[in-house]
Amino acid sequence: MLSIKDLHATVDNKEILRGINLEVKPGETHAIMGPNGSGKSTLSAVLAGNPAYTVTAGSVTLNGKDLLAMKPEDRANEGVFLSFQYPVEIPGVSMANFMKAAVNGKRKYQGLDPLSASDFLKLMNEKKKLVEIDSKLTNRAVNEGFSGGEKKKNEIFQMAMLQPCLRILDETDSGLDIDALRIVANGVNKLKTPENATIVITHYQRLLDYIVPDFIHILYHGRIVMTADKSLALDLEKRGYDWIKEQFPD
Amino acid sequence: MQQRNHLKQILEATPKGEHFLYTDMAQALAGLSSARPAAITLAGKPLPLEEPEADNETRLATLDAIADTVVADPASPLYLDFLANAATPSGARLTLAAGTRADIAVHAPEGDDLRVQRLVVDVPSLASADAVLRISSRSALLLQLKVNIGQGASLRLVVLQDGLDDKRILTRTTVDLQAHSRAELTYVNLDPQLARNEVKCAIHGAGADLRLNGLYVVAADHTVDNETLVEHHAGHSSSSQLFKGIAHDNARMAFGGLILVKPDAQKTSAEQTNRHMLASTTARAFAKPQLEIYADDVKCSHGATTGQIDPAQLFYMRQRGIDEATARRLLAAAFVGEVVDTIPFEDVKTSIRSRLTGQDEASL
Ligand SMILES: Nc1ncnc2c1ncn2[C@@H]1O[C@H](COP(=O)(O)OP(=O)(O)OP(=O)(O)O)[C@@H](O)[C@H]1O
Ligand SMILES: [Mg+2]
Repeated sequence: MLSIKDLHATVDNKEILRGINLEVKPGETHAIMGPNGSGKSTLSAVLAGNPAYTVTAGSVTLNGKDLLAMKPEDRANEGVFLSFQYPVEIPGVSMANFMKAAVNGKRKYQGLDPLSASDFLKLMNEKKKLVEIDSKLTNRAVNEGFSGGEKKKNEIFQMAMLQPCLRILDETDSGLDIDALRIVANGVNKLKTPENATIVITHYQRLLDYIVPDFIHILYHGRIVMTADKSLALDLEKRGYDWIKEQFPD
Repeated sequence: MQQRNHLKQILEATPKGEHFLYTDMAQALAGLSSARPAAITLAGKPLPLEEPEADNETRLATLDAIADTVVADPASPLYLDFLANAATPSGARLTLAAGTRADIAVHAPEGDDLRVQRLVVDVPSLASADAVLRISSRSALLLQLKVNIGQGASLRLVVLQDGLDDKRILTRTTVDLQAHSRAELTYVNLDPQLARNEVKCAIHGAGADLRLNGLYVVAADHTVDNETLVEHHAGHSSSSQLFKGIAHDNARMAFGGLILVKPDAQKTSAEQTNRHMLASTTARAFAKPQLEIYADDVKCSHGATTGQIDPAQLFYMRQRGIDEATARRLLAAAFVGEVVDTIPFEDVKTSIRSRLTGQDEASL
């Protein structure tokens, strides 16, 4: 589904991604771990098409299509969803208007008519239940004044609404309390199908107890320096990253 | 001859010059002959009209001379439809009795004429009234509006232009507020080709309160210009202004506002806020906030900012599959939402919101 080859990217002329290779197949869950500042969020931003980042080399295809040639909205409508590490507040834009524009944006891309108001409401209500998000939140402006955990929950709510094929979760667990973590992770699992794939970026084993990865990759200094099965997370929990940093000096 | 008089008046009435220079009205009106409007109907029936001044002057002062008065009261709601046409002269004086909401429309039809519509609105002492004034122009329209708000009276007024093809609209308003009166005025311009509002408010009595707001959206190579003058002649009065505008493409927007506090106006509180958002790199914004204060015990402030669409917000929306143009429109609508929220009429608010977002709010 997703094929990343020798991806290099810069921000402000500083090279952050220095040759990433990654293959993700439908139905798979990949975890990406790594020390702070190693480039995990940069990778997710580059995949989503954030114009602040410049790709200097390499290629990315999604279902055989050249992802890097697409606008961010087209990538989204092709099925890329990024749950942001820091979801953005948009005062003055209601969640309802925002979701309606998103859902209908995708339908338009697919050549479908916009959802009727009642179908849209039905969809909202169904997905709200799935992630147990309060209507008090979805009646407000996008993320405005949401707590850290509420923002993360809202990301997964949006993911449920949009049903992407590639789900990139950037530290979705950070800021969530114990119950919210379980609810959000269950939501992610319930939405899993044999056709979609998941990339979870996290620092903690905790999340991976719920969202069990097929592979764990360690990203360090802009490269994937190690790939292993889920037991690696337990190892890291005990040993930290020093032993990896020693193996891969700059 | 007529043309010269009108143009002369438009071009000369530039109080204090300088900050009235953003819109080149001479250029905008070049080639137009001027014609007196208008057929005026009240609920389908023609209204009696006063002959205009023989010398064809259109100064606002002459408006007071219009004799015939239409009284609107809650029992007979007022729907006025002014079709500014060249055949009949026009000017009307309306008295808004307590509890009235007047819906007034002024149109300038296709043509090569400058249409002039004059309107005097009186709100008698202690009355509270509402008015929605919708204006549109397919040629060129000068609306002269004079508003008298009596002692202890209050008026909520929205002047709304929201047609895509509206050309060359100039509104010139003077508002006089007596003691303990209140006015909430909102000027809305959505995507006109050229619009300019000149609003002069004078507070003559203690305890009066003025809210003067504006919102404007302008695109292509079009221009919107708001010029306000708020004069405090009496003490213990307050005024606040909030003007927010968005310019897309190569459009221009301007705000000039002068708060003038006269020596007798002690304990005045006056504020003015102007916020512009440039939605493209080629749009331009001009702002000239001014304070002129001749009393020492007053609280006055003004602030003007120009900003851009936040790239993080834009990317977040696009990541959700919202195309860039729609995302920009939603963010722009959010930016002026603060002004929309102040509009006291739900129906007007809803229609402005759906225009701004391109979505049908009622269905949400
Ligand atoms: N806009 C920017 N300008 C300058 N440097 C940047 C910018 N964005 C990211 N960086 C730098 O790129 C590096 C990688 O950042 P990134 O956010 O991808 O790390 P991360 O692996 O997600 O870290 P964390 O675990 O802390 O979330 C960091 O050194 C960061 O400071
Ligand atoms: Mg990160």
